[in-house]
Amino acid sequence: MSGMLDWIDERTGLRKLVSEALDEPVPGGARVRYVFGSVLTFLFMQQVVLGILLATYYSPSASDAWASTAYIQDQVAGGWFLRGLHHHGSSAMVVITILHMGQVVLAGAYRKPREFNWWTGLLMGGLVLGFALTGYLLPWDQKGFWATQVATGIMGTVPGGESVQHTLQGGDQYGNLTITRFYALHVFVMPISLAALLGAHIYLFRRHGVTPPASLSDEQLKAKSAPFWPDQLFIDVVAMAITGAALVWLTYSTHGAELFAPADPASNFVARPEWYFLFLFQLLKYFEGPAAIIATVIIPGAAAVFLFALPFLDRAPTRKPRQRMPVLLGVATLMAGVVALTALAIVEDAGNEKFTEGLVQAEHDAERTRELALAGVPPEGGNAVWQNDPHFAAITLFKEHCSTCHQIDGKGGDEAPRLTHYGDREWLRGAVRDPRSKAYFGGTKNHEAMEAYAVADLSDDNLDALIEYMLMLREQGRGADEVAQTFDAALAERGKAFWADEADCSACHQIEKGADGDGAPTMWGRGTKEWIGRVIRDSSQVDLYGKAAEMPSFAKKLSDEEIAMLAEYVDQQGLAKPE
Amino acid sequence: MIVGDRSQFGEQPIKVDIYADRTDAWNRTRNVKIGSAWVVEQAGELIAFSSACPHLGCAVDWSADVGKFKCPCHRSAFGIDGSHEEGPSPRPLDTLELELREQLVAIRFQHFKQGSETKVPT
Repeated sequence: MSGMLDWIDERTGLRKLVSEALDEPVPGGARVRYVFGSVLTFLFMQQVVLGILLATYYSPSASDAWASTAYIQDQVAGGWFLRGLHHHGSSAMVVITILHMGQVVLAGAYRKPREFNWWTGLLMGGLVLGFALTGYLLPWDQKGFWATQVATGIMGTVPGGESVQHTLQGGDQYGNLTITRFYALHVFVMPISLAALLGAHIYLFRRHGVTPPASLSDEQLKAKSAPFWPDQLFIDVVAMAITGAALVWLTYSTHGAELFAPADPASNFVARPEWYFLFLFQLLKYFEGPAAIIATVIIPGAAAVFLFALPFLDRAPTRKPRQRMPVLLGVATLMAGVVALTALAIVEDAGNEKFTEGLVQAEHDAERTRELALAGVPPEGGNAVWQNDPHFAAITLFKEHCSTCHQIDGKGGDEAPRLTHYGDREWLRGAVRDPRSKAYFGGTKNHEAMEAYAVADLSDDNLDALIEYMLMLREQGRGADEVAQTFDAALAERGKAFWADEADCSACHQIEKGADGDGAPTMWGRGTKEWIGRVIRDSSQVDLYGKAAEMPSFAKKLSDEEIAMLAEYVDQQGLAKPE
Repeated sequence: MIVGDRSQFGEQPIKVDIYADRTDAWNRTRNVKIGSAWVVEQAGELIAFSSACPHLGCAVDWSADVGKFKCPCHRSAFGIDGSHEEGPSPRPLDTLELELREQLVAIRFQHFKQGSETKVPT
C-alpha cells in the first residue's frame, strides 16, 4: 500500500497536498461556529450530484418540462426523493448562507485583509438566489410559471431591463426558449461561476485563515492553536451529517417537492415565490405606479451596496463587537426588515380567503393532472394531459359528432336544442314557455309540434309544479349507476294532479314506461343519463321522438362506451353538473 | 378569436379562455390556450379586458362580493369598467378589441408591456 502511495506521491505530490489541507493551523482551536462554509460546500456538491441525476430524466422544453418532471416525481423509482432533496437542498443553502454571513459579520471577518473573502462570498450568496430563481421555473408548473413571470416582469420595468428580460425569456412571451435559457443558466453558467468563486473563496480563506474570536488575545490563540485535522474536520463532518439528515427527514416528511398542474397561461394562479423571496414580494405591495422602482431596485440595491461596502463602512479600531455597533445594528435592521416582511406576507396570505381557495383549487388540479399523467402526457405539452381525462374525450366526441347541430356554452350549431344546463329546471321551464326558440326546438323541422305556453295559459306556480312532477318521473327511470336528484315531492304531487286534470301536456306526452308517444317523448325516465344515451343511439324509438325524430342514429357510428361518455357529458351540463 | 355567443354575456363579468394556434420557437401547436379575458356588458356594449394585471402579469379575478377585479399577487384592484382603484398597478386593465360577428363574440388577443403607465403592445 505505502509502496503504491510512494509511487503516486512521487508523481503528484499527493502527500504534501493532503498535509497542507489537513494540517492547516486553526488559531484558538476548533469551533462549531466555523462549520458553515464547509456545510455550504457539502450542500453545493450534493446539489450538483442530485442535479446531474435529475438531468438524466428532465427534458428542457415547454412541451416536455412538466411531463418529464411529473415522470420523475411519480414514476421513476425514488425520483420524488431526489427531486425533493434537490428542492429542500436549495432552501438549506439559503439558510446556511444566512448563518454563514451572520457569523462573518459578528466576527468582523469582512474586515481587512479579508475584503475579497467577503465580496466573493456575497457574490456566491447572490448566485444561490439565482439558482433558486432559475430552478423554480424548470418544472413548468403553474407555480413556477406564474411566480417567475412576476420576477422577469420586474426586470422589464427597470430602466434598461427590458432587453435583459427579453434576452432571458428568449422573446416577448414565455415558451421553449425561456426554458432552454433558464436551464443553461441553472446547470452550466451558475454552477461553473459558483465553482470558480468557491475556488477563489477557499484560496483566500486559506491565505488569511479563520477569523478567531476577538475576545482572545494573540497569546491565547497561539496557545490553543490546533491543526484542522482531526478536531475541526470532525466537527465539520458532524455538521454536514446533521444537515444531510435534516434534509432527508424534511424530504420524507413533505414527500418531496410540490409539483402543481402544468403551466396554463389562461388560468389565474395565486402566484407566490419561494419562501426566501417573500420579503421582496411583500415589498412590492407598498409602492404604487412609478414608485414601484423603490421596491424593485432602490431598496434591494441599497441593501446590496451596503453589504458590499461593509469593509469600508466599518471604521472601528478592533473587531470587538462593542466597537462595531453601528455596522452590527445596520445589518440587524436589514435582517429584521427581511424577517418582518416575510412574516407579513405569510400572515396576509393566511387571512386571505381568495388565496386559500385558490391554493385548494391548485392542489386539486395538481393531483388530477398528475394522476392523468401516469398514462403518459401527449406530446403537445403538459396541458394536453387533460386529453387523458374521459370528460375531455367526451368534449372531443361532442365537437366531432354533435356540435354541428347542438350548442354548449355558445359553441356549436343551432339546428337542435342547446344543451347548456340541459334538462334542469331552468331548461324545462324554457322548453315549455318558449319551445320554438332556437334555444329549444326552433331549429328543428318539427318545431311547430309543441306550442308555447305563456303565463296567461299556465301560471308560474303551476309550471313549477309540473316541472317537479317531470323530475319525479325522471327519477323513476333513473339508472342504477346514476346519482339521485332531489325534487320537491309535495309540489310534484300537485303537478301530477294538475297534469291529470287540467294541463294540456297529456294530450301528447305519455307518462308510462315505454309508452308510444306518437312523436312526443314519454316522460317516464326522461332526461336521465340512460335516456340521453338512448336518444343518441336512436331517437326514433316510439317512447322517444318516434316519427318526429330528426337526429341521426349514432348506434352504428359510435361505440357503446363512447355513447355512454357523451350521455354523461350532456347529463353533466344540467342536473348532474359536478360541484 | 371567437369566444362565445352574445347571449352568454351580461353585466356580470365572465372569463373566457383564448385559444389560437401558437408557434413557440420550433413547435407549432394548434388551438392551444394562449391567455384569457374578461367580458362584461356596460351600457349595452360588450367590453373585453385582458386578464393580465398591468402591474406584473398575474391574472386578475372578478370578486363579485366587492364588485372589483382583483389581482391575487400584489393587491391591485380595478372597477368593473377596468379603472385602477387600488394597489401598485400603473394603469387600468387593458381593453382588448372586441367585435360582434352576428351573434358571436370575437376578441383580438394581445399582450401589453407590464409595469408601464401607457398601454404598449408587445
